[in-house]
Amino acid sequence: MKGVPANTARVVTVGGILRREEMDIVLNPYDRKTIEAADYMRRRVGGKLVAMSMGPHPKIIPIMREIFDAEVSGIDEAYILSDKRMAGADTWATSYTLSKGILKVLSIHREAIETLANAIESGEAIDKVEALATDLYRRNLIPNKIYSDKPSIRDTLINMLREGKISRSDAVELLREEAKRVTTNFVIFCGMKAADGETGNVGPQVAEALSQELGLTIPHASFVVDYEYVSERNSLLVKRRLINVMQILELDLPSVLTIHVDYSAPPVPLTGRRASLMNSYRGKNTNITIWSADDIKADPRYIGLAGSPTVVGPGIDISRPHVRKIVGLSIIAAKDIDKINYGDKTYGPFKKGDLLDSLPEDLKRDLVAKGLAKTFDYEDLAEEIISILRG
Amino acid sequence: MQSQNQQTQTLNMLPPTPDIESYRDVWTFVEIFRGELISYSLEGIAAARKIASKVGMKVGALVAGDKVSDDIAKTLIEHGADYVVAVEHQYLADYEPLAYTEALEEIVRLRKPWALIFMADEMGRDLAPRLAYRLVTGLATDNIDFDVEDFFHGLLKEKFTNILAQIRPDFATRIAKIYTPRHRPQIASLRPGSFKPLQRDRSRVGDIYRYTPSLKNYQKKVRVVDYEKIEDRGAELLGAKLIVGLGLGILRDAEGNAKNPLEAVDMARKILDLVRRKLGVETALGASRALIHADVKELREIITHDIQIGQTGKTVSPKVYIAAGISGAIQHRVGILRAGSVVAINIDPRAPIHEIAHYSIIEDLYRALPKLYEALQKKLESR
Repeated sequence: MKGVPANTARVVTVGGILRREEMDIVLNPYDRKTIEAADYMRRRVGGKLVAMSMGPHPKIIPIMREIFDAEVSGIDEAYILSDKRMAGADTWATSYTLSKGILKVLSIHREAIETLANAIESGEAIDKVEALATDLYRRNLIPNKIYSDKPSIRDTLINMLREGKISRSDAVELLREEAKRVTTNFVIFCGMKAADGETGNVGPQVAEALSQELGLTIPHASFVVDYEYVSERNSLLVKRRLINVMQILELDLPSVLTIHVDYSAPPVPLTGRRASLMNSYRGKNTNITIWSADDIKADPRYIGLAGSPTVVGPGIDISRPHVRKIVGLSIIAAKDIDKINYGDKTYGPFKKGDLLDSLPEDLKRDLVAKGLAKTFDYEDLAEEIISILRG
Repeated sequence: MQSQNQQTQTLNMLPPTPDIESYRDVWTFVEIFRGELISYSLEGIAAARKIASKVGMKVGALVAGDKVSDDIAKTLIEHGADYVVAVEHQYLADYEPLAYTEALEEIVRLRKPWALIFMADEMGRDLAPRLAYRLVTGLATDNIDFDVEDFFHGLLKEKFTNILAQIRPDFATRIAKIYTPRHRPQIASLRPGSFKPLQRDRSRVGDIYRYTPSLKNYQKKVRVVDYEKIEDRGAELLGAKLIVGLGLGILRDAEGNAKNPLEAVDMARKILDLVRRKLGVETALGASRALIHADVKELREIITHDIQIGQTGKTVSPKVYIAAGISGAIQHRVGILRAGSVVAINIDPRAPIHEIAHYSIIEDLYRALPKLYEALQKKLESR
């Protein structure tokens, strides 16, 4: 998720760097589709939907609060990477930082399962094991299939262990496999671009950065308009825009998708609901976690301005004052007009078609009377439209 | 000569590309997709030419595929490349980002280009970011122009001479220049349509270097399954130069009487047809979310989700956008930020669409559209 300026006409920059802390910040509009796509995956296979953003947390927290209720189920958990040293990051430094944050989220979950496995392996009493499982479950760190307090879910790993349906060593082995899957069974959804920078680089770059952090190859696909999970091969079948066609790709998990605005989630199939529930967690954890650069063990040389290979030079304003011609009301120059001395001021020169609305009323009347100015009409509008389309 | 302070500062930053002075030439990645040379890739050669002539370097056209034909290579040279680097491997037959990143990484590390230009289409935007991250270098996306300049690095207090200025739009009203002073290659993507391809010169000759990458770290985690035609009726919106967008306002006239909205659709189509016929430009009909969600029986086959413009629909960039009966909620305005000129037709002078319009018609659209059509017809037929 990215926080972007609410009004791109009122951006605050210092030396080309966005000062997000000084502007009204909203959720990047393209990220709505991202949530929709991720929400589908969450409902389809279970697990949990984790939102992550980098930016000043006072501005990002309200955005995160809102998306707990977004789409069908909303997000389950939120992490904000917030640190003054992260400011001024280009897409390279942003992707590095996000990959470190993602790595930490994965580690926490893997370690939770490993802690439980270790406790069982070391021969802890079953009540102690269950107490530990309860704690991890309440903190949203282990899924229903390991432990659950939902009455509808009886066949959890801990229950089976307590009832002697599986041995301690079986439980340990199952948990260790589960722990490994944490770092392989995930999908990262990104917006196709952000409304402010409009680069779309972060999705593919996070795939590469995280590949390097995890020491495995994480494929990515950009501009995804449709996708489906293929359970037989634990992969994603993806349809994405590529030049003049749709390319259909199959991506192994873990993978990164950037979601095109044309994406819309299909209905979730009825089959697999039980498996999805077992893979899911207790519920939502609405306590938003805020991590600094040190928390995620980010190399300070690789983050923020220091970690950015690109440098933004001073922006050049090319905006003209907004002029609007109103059919039947605006006065325009009927022909080229030289400089006009009027009262103690000089106006012009004007080219044919220039808007004269800001001139004094008397002068406009005078110019109209002389045939130098006229009311902007449909034909003038047609003329301008044609000239723009020809130009 | 670096000061003490500067050296300390450098140590706290992303390390620069080693051996940075050895990087030479301006390359452009030419897209071959399903056997076809993607024509706007020739604009990349024109851009590379402009840059190369300012720094006294050569232009290399980088091409990838399972086999790159001599014909294609020759075409690239005749369009301005000094030489062609053809990276060939069976895994490069279809585009997918992992094999392409791996192959391009190998050739870049081997031949060390000073700058590398991609096209900012779906392929360039999929590939360039991953490659730039892998190579630990900067990427400036969606540029409209390039220059070569000296750049003073404020943080380092150091002047970098003759580096690439990557020029891109910034927040609708500004342009920004992006520099990659300490890393090579300087990677950028070019927005298609920003440069004119160079005139073909059949007398031009140049070398073709063929390279087979080892792909030794490549893992096949992506499989290209198939291709599908884009069936999206709204696709024409994306390339249209003139768009008429219709909103809820077409359901009633200024007096509040219910109208048959097909009348408005017909009038809009008459304008679009006229302009397409007479000016030879692409035109398209669009609609606001509100009108689509109104689910009007008469419009069911015509006003569909495919042609929705706005935040949850399409983002369009016509030269002229005519908004008829659209109030101009922010969600709709997001979709037309890139429009050149906006003509707002809305009887309510306080409708937000008028605020962003370059031309306003404050009149019943059932009167305004025919008048606009007549005026256009008169101007176009008199020529």
